[in-house]
Amino acid sequence: MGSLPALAPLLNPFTGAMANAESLNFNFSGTFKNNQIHDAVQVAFDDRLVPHIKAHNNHDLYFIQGYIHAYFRLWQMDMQTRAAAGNISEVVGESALIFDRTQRRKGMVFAAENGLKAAEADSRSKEMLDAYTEGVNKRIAELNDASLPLEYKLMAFQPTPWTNLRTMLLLKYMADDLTGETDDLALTYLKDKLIPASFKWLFPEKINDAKSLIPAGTVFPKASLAVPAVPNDSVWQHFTLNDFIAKQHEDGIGSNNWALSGAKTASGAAILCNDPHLGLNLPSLWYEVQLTAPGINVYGVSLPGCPGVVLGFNDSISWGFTNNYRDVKDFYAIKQVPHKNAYYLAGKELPFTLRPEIIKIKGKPDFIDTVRYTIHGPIMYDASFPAEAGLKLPLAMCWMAHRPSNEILSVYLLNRATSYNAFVSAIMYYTCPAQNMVYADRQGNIALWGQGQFINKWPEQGRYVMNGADTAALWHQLIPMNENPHVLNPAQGYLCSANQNITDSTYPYYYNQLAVEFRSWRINDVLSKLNQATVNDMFLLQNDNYSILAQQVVPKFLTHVNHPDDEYLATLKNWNYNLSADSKAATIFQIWWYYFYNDYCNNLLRANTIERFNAENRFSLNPAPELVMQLLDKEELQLQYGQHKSASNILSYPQLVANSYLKTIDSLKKIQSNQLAWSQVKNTTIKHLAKIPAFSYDKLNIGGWGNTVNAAKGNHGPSWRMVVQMGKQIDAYGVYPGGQSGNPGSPFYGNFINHWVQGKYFKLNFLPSNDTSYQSNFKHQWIITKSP
Amino acid sequence: MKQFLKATCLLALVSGMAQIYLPWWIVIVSALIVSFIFTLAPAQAFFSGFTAIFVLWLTIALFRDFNNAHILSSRMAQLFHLPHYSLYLIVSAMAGGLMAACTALSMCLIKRIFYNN
Repeated sequence: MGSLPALAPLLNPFTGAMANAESLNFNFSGTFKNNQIHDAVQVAFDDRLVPHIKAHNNHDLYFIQGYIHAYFRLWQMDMQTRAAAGNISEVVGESALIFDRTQRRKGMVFAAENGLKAAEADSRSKEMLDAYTEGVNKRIAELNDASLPLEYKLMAFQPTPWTNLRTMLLLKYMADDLTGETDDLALTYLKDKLIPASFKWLFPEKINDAKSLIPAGTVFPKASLAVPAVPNDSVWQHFTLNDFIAKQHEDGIGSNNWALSGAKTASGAAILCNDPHLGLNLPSLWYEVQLTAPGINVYGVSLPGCPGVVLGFNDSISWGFTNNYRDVKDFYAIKQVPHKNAYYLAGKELPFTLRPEIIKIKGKPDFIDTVRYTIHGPIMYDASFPAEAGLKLPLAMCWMAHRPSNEILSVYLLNRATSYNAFVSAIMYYTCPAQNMVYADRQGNIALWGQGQFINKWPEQGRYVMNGADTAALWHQLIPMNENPHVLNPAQGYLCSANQNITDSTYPYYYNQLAVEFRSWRINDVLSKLNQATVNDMFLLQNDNYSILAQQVVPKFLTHVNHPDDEYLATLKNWNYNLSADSKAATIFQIWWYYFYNDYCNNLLRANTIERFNAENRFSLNPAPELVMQLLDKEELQLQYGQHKSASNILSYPQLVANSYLKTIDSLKKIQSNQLAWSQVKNTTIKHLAKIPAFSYDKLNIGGWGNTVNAAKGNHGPSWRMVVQMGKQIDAYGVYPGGQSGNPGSPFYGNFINHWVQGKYFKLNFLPSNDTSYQSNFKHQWIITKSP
Repeated sequence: MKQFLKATCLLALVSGMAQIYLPWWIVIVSALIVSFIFTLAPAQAFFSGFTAIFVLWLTIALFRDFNNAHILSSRMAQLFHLPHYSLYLIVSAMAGGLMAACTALSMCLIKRIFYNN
């Protein structure tokens, strides 16, 4: 927690912490008068505290949504937008300065300002934002010492007014979370370090046998643009560093979604499923809500801080997102003009645009970081703020999220879409972060779009750091969005995305992406064999812990290590490859694979460098685990090692298996035998945003990992599981690891977590737009009438 | 003894009412006023202030905690590394009690200076 608050304001039971102790029988009901709404509004909260908001116009709908978000989640909204904007030091002190500087240098506020211009230029999104902001501020104005959210009392600061810009900042926070990860620097380094043929082999753009999310054979619309020619080699930047700080490549990041056509389901209705994997925090990222007004009746999860429903369904259609991972963030090395505030582009000198970033620090003077903007974007790294491994070269970042775009309008239209065509027009406003958008409707149509705004790149453009002085490296034309990869009602009867490769090689435009395949292989495997599917089958698949990696690797490992009496090996031999919560075999395998994968990659890379490397040298990036798994299939494996393969410090594959097993035994022996269960070792934790353990949940009894569909990792996992059957009647189920209230003193703070851990679901109360009798059965009611 | 009880009850009552509308520091103001009105020995003043606010804060906290099934007090206890939720309630009430006790004692001593002069 860092700084202790002055204790009396916190400890006194009138306005301190105990004022946030919500009674178990608290009734939220009430009748209010309000002069900001245009007409009466009714809110019915069900027994899980999900609000069903019924308004007579859009203004009132979003006003009340803003009010309710702030009522239950204000501190979280405040902190997340502070984090987006690089304003954390103001409330926690100097410890957050590097974080804040990073955010400013990424151009987060610049991006949000550009987004806001676009959003306010359209009357629909402007009305939505204005009303929402008004609602949030209405709640902030009502707060007093006692009703202030607990975290404000603990951290001793006060909420500041909400603005439309803060909503945009939240969207950029998501964009950064979903497109922030980049391998560009690491790949630039490796490309020069490794033998060219080895580099191509170890870091391919597509993994062999990838099941692309647009099924192979789908005919793409004819490209309206020609792919530009590759410029000459001077377009690339080369690093001269000898070493790089190794960063762990996360295996199995991402999310799942899929849709089944009626032909594959027992009911004959299409089924849509979605489980986006994100950081697991409290208060939860998501907030469940139903929004009803003329022209809209939608249910799903919203982001506190943003109006509308992001993932969900309405009377006619349902949709879900996974991250697309096409590269929309590139780096340019900037050549500075000596002694001038300018840089070179095509031989000319161009001045930097300066943007002073004033960072307020609690208890200290302000810190001013003047960020220099180029034609490509802000200079993120330079001598005063070095990149990985102390790289001091000025690097500018060109990022799709910096461009003006109106994702809010997409949300507005999606929430109201009544057909596939309406869905398609809605997502044409969706620029960044690119998403794989799965679709199913009550007519039985299913579809999938790899949607976002992309650049018509020349092959490999932006995969590595480019020379910022060369105009050939610039981002040029935009690919028309209707030419993005998509498919409607494929012959296979189902569609799925799990952050795998997007298309086969017949897609006419170039792109590179971060792709992971294990979950896609598993989901495709299950769905292709499934007929007469029910929602129960969907529940099982979303919670599936079967590891294709383990199934492929374990038998091979076991042929190289043989100790007849070894109980660990015996456990592995009898394993069903499920990373279930209580499995000891899962623990043994995961540790073994961890050691093997890292050692193997290190040996593999060292054997394939142009110049000889020492054993201590580490590499910036490992080849994908999918690729390493596939390598183990090859008998000529040892021969794949490059020119240094005979060097004495390079170990062979069987040696590495044996060595890593010894390390595994060492690690296992350090764990008490009654704590070997996989869930104990991996320790899935749902962390409070201020990292306060007392407000967090740890050691959750849940299985899975990044290489399984149920990708519940340490602090990352399925953030919202949804299953919707789009029949005559819509049957919808969902659960997220949290609760509707953001107050750690409320019984609704973490009350969904047990369900989520156990793979159970709540039936979602989707009320027909004309239904009023149902609402009156709900426990908590708000009747809000307009006061003069 | 009668004075002690009167002072204690009055302080609990006054600061209890006042805290419904005013911030926590009204406890200090109330303690100053009450110990100005009543002339008590220093030890009596101290314990009177302590008892009044300790009991008041503990009562309010217990009431809230009971309706909350210890959800928040358990979390707060964990936050302050206390082994049991009840300790959070007791420690916070003691903090309030000590604050009032010291205030009352100070007023009592100040009054003595003037009285002696």
